Amino acid sequence: MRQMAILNDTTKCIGCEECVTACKKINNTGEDKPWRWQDKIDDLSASRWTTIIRKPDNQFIRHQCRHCLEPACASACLVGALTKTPEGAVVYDKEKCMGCRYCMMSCPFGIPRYSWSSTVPYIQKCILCYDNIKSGKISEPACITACPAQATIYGERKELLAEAHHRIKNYPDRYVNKVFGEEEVGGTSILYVSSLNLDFLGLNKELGETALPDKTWGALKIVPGLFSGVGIVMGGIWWIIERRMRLQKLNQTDLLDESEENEDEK
Amino acid sequence: MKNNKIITLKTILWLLTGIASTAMVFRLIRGLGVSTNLTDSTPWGLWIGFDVFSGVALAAGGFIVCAIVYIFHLEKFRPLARPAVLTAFLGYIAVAVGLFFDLGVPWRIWHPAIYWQHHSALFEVAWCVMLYLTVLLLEFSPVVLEKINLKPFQTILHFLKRFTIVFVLLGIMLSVLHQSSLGTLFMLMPSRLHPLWYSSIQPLLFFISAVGLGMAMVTLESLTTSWLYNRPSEQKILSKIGLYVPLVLGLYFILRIGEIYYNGHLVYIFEGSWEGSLFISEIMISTIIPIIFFSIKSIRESKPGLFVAASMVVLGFIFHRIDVGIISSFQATGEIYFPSLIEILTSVGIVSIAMLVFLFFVENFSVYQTEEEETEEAQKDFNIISNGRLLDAGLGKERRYSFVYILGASLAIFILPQNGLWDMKPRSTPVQSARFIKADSNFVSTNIYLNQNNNLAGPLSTTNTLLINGNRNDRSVLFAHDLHIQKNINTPNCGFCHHMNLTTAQVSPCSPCHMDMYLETDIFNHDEHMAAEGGNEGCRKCHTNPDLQKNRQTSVSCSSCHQKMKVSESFIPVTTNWTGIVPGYMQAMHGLCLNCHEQKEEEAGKVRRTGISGCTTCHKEDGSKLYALTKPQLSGRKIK
Repeated sequence: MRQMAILNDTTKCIGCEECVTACKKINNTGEDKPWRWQDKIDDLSASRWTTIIRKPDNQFIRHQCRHCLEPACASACLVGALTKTPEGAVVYDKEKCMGCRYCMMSCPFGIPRYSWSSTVPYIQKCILCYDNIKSGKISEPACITACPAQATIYGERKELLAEAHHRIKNYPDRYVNKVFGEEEVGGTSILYVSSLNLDFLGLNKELGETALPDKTWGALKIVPGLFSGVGIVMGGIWWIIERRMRLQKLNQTDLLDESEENEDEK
Repeated sequence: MKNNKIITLKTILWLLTGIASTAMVFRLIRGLGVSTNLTDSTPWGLWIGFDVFSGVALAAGGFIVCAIVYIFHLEKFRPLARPAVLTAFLGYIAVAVGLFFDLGVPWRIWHPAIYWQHHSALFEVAWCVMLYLTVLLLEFSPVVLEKINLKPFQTILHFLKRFTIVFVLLGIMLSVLHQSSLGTLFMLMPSRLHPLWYSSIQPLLFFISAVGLGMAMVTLESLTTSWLYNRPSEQKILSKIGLYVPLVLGLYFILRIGEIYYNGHLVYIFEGSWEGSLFISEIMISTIIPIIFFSIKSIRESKPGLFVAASMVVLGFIFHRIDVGIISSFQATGEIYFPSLIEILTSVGIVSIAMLVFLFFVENFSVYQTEEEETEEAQKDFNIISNGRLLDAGLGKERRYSFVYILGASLAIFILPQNGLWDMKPRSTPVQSARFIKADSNFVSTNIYLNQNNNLAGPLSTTNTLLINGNRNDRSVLFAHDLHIQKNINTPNCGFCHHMNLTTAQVSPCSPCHMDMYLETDIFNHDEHMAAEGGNEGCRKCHTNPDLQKNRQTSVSCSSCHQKMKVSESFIPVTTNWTGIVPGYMQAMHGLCLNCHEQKEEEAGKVRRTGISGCTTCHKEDGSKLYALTKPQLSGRKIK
């Protein structure tokens, strides 16, 4: 299976937000309505799965779910509502979701949004147009088609990485010498080449290169061992003490002399 | 003989329960977003931090005492076993209830039972809690069963008692797992948690602190109930337990500080930041001071001393769980969270209910077994006092409690709609009520300034146009109400417009809905224009035709207003005789050429922003500069 990805070139983005419009249209997310804590309506929200972050000097950065190769959200979801597909997208099954919001807590980029204004809320985030591509309705995500500047392109991750490095090599003045998303948290499917350092996209400037699920898995994989270990140790202690006490009792009744001796020893 | 302490306490608890039940109903009807202060950046709040994390840890006493009594056969601690198991049982039920209110889709709380995802720490916690609740039920049920003198129940009782050790073992195994797994949850969030609270040995820290907390909680409970029911406390035993508390807390302290030191994060503690102070106070309350208190013999063996020390451990570790779960991520998200009134009331209510049930069991079943001879007298005393019990007491108390409960519930109704919504409520500003007027559909040129005395109102039924004073400035605009209903037919909801989406707004501008141009761009700031033109009243100045969608194409051009705008470099110097203003190159291209082209292309049914009206037609990549800044490259391009 080809592992598909997106490469965003922020130096090419002109901030026209056609991608946002296209995304809203195909996913039917509806209009943006400011919720009570929001100062800006153009932040990511339940109705806005991708958005443009505007930085000084006409720098535009498209923000969206990064579709990590080893997504923290999918490893966090206890019912498996979020899953990483072999095609690359991290998709969401709202029929399974129970609304614990652990995925929102775990995302290193703070991406998943919740439809708070709804009485029955669900997680909202970019799914890389997975359903529509799968059904053959479109061949690439709607945002890619909509981009007038080819600032965001779709393709196999390996090829896009090569293209990204190619661009950096050809125009070293234009780009920061780093493909963002190549290695952070184990790699993401949304790659960036940029003239800016894009570490502000994460919740923390140093995300590290370890995939986050590994961090919990290290503790979780010892669970069966721990479970039986505790059981055996505790059971063993109980058995030993129980047996000792029973023996003591036997001694007391059967061999009075010995029991007296025992008591003396005690 | 009446026990006023009990009656007063229960009255307060019933009142709180009453208030909370209204809050809970409100939460279930209105949804999570409205009733809590949770946001996209702080998705976990008080219900998780306090009810779930602290609740589970507080209930740790159950498995610790069981281990001491049943596994290690330290019989002298047996009197503590039943209350500890009861606390654990109620604690876990409270956790489940708290979680129920916190889940976005609460009726799916059973989902982990059928949808398995074993890579999730939360999955493990969920399963352990489910199983442990069952085990606790089995462990505790003998207390109830032994009161029922029916044969089948006695058979079950006999059966359960035979397998006590199995339940105890299972309980310990499950507890060890999920107490630590609650810490594992946070190992996934290195970028979110402050370094002082993020730890790669989080499971171990959570487990050890749960052991310490469980011991303290058992102590606290025993002391409190003995005070309430004038029952002799198990103080000797408690002091013995107290002897071990410093060991557990000390181990916790060494591991916690040791790991921070190992990672080189000690500097964060003393850098003077608020996180540093928070950490110091947390460690002082939860660990250092209790270690000192429990180590001093005279304090450990006095009731007040024991009480204070145990309370500090309990409070300190609740503090710790809330720090880890909520507060330590403030610096990463840049957002401060404080729970809403509904969140607080619900949490308080859940605790109150749990306490009432606890008291009920203490009064009606032999939870505190008083086996020692010296307490026989006290046993008698205890029975007399238990007149204050819930069920077979005189009607007086029942009435009192019912009254207080209903009082609380109704009181909450008055509190909640305002405070429960806190930020949700639009500021109350006197508004002139909307009125229907007679107007034909073509009300383009109408410009209405309405004063208090100015009455343009007509008969209500004849027309579909409203006059609304959305900016509270006595200037009304015509508003085609029926037309708006028709257009929003897919969201047939009055709240869609009427202040649900305009919660903090002092005014009701049209632009949040008609937002095609609402977003501020480099060249156009909609808000500023709106403010300058008097709010809604100014819409029509630019969007001249109300029947059309309000966007770039249907609005007047900038130049129709800004005829005299003087932007530096926008002049093309011409002869000195020239008196008019000529737009600069960029203004001409963007303001004049593009408009017309876009319009033409639109008419021809082409896709927007292609061809000559597209940005990329002129702003081509030239490889030398940032694309967005490139000067238009027109050379070599065929212009048809």
